[in-house]
Amino acid sequence: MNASVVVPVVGGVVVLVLVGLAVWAVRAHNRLVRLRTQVQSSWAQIDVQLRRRQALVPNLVETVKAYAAHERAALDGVVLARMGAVAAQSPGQRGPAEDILTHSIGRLFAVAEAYPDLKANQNFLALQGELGETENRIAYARQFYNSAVQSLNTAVQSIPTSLIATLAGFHQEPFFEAAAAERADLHVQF
Amino acid sequence: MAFELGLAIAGIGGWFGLFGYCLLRTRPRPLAPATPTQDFGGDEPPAVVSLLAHGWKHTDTAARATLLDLAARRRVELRQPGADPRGTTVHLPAGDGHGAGAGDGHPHGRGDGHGDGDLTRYERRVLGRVRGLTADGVVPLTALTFRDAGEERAWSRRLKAEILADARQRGLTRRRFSSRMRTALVLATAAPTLAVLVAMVHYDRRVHPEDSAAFAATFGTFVVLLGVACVQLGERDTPAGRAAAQRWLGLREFLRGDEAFAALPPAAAGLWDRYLAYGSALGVARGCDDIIDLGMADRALLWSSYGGSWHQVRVRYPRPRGRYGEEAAPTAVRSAFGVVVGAMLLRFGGRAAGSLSAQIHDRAGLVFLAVGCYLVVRGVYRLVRVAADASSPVAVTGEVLWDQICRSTTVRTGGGEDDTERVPWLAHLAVDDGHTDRLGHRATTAWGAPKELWDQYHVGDVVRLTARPWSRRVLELALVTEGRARQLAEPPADDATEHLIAEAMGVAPPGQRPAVPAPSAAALLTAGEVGWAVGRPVTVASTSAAAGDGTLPVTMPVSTQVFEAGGRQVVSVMASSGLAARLTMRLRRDSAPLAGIGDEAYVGERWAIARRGGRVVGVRVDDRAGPLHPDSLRWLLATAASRLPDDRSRPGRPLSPSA
Repeated sequence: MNASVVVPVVGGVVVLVLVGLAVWAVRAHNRLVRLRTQVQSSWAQIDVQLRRRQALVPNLVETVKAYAAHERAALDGVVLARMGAVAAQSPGQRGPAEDILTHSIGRLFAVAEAYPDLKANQNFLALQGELGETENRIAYARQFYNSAVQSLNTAVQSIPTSLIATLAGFHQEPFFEAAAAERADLHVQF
Repeated sequence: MAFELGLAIAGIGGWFGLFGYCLLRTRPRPLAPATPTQDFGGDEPPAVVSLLAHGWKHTDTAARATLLDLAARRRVELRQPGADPRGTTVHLPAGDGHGAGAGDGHPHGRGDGHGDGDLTRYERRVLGRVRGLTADGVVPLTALTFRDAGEERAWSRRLKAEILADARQRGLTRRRFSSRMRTALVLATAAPTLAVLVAMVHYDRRVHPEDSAAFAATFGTFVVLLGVACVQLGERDTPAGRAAAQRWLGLREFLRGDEAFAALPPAAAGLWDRYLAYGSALGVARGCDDIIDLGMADRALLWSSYGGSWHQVRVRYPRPRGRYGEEAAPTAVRSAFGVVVGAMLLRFGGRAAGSLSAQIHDRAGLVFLAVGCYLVVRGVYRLVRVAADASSPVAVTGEVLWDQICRSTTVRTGGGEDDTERVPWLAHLAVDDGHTDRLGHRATTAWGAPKELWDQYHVGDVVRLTARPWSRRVLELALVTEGRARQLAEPPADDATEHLIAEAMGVAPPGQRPAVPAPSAAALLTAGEVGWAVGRPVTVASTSAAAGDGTLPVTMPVSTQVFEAGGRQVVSVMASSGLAARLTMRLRRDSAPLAGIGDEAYVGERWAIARRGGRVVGVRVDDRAGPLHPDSLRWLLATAASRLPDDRSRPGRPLSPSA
């Protein structure tokens, strides 16, 4: 075949393939960016709820202290757990820290059971309700976060998207683990 | 000609310009979503959110989202036994309560209330459909579809009206054209109508004065424009609706970014609670939208619970022609005719071809021979089958799965050429009798049910039928068990959407004043009360109640009660509603107002009148009662007005959902 025909045809095919690859690379990159943004957005939602819970803890401690000041162990436990949760930054650190805070608050509520006056206190009841609502929101936020992380991690590990992820610096994100107590509460009913 | 045409076009064009302006002015404006967030946008149910998120247009997502919401609120349970979400089943919770009760009230729907009191009308409608179709408390998710187009239409229209009614009562939507705007458009039709009249009269006088079509054209123009002005144009936004929609669109933006959420199956409602319902309402839960269908079923693959367990049945529908569904006699006559024609071709075909040339003769002879043989063999075969069919009918018992008219005949209704009418006479009747095909699938072939049997069964019934197996014609049909679907039968919803919305809101349809029943004056004051007020003992003299006599198109209910003392009238009490009440109040509004009684009250020298809702009560103390303490009349009126029934409650109002 004439070289004057073959060269343009092969060149055209190569150019087309390169353009196709470039389009795919851009789309894959944009998808990874979208997934990472969703992870960040979901984490922001968790962060809002966690900070909301942390903000409620001092009021809770003060309210309980007014009725059960001698329950130092439980009160100090909550205060220390809150400090640990505030200090933690990444999802990997915050999971265990928030787990400890959840346990401490649970212990404080258990202590409160022994004080009828405290249980009847309106401020305590309001805080209890608000903390319960916040826990609920945290649970949903965690579901969204883990769902987003799962999508991102799947994309980052899958071939050929993993090539783009490696080149562009995308990496897997840690899941926000459920508190051990929450896992323990799960049971299947047949 | 140019003048007349220009005038008419200008008039009509101007009116349509005004109409277009109204359309532009009232169109729902595009909205920018709020900041993406996982928080719900408010306490609106998913069906209402679906309306807001789709530009104030009702869509199929409303019913789907409502079902998912019921699952999230534990009113039903969605279970997916295998990997395929199409196998999802809907279960009623144990001890499913049907009465009113406390609702869950939790903003995220974690509660377990099982009463229906906190459900809206449309939620009860969807839940009612599930309950009506369950067998032993379970129904496949894909079996919620309808099998009757009329029922599906009526159900969907009522659902839409109930959702719109709820959205309107929340102040989130309103009619596209307000009453004022519609009135203005109707009044504005006078201009183009007049323009057409002038143009036509001018044209007729100039061209053919003896034969004028001016009034016909004018009337036609008026009717067409009036029809356009009154056409239903859907809903439009409100400030509160726009604000709510923006908040919900913020949630949509957040959910849209989650790839895994879009693919979640319906059974995930147990884990994601109301998020999945709202996701479906916002159009970002494709995994659910692909599975849940509350529209018409696929008639070739239908669900049946005959025999106690749910299974799918493949249904074959023979072409509705020839012998299908016919009686034996016409089929036999046609078959015999075919035999005769075939025999004649065989007998005389050779002679007819004899006069042709040799080559053509041979070929024509072969054709006649082939066609003749075919007709004879076919006719004989069909005669034998008809005879066997007529002599050995079969009896079948099973559940009616599908019923659809398939054959009609043309009947003359008058002497004219066009005076004909299509009259249906045969329907496909698919019955699941438990048979399976060669592959082991449940399968059946639709029977042909003649018209006289149509009122003896309903889809879902278990019937016993006697039929001819070859022609598939049903001869007799007996009802064995009424199906659950009978309870779900929807009355036809032929009313305009506005009327259905008004019905759902418990208010009078637009253009109609509510018919307020006549209050009874006898129940408003006792003789003791009146005697105490006038300072002397009185007796009840007479009571009269008069409703409209039917000669007027409005009701004018009036009721009076007269009290006597010493044989003379001293106090009269008059109660009225409707037009009489409105006219009475209009006449008294110039008098001194009385505060704190009913909605409005006025007092004169020896009379007082008050209105409560659409009802009016008046008290008149006669001069013969003697001097009257100023507070006595007021006390009598306040007492009587407090006993007027309150017509402002809305019994049909959808209950506010708690979450």
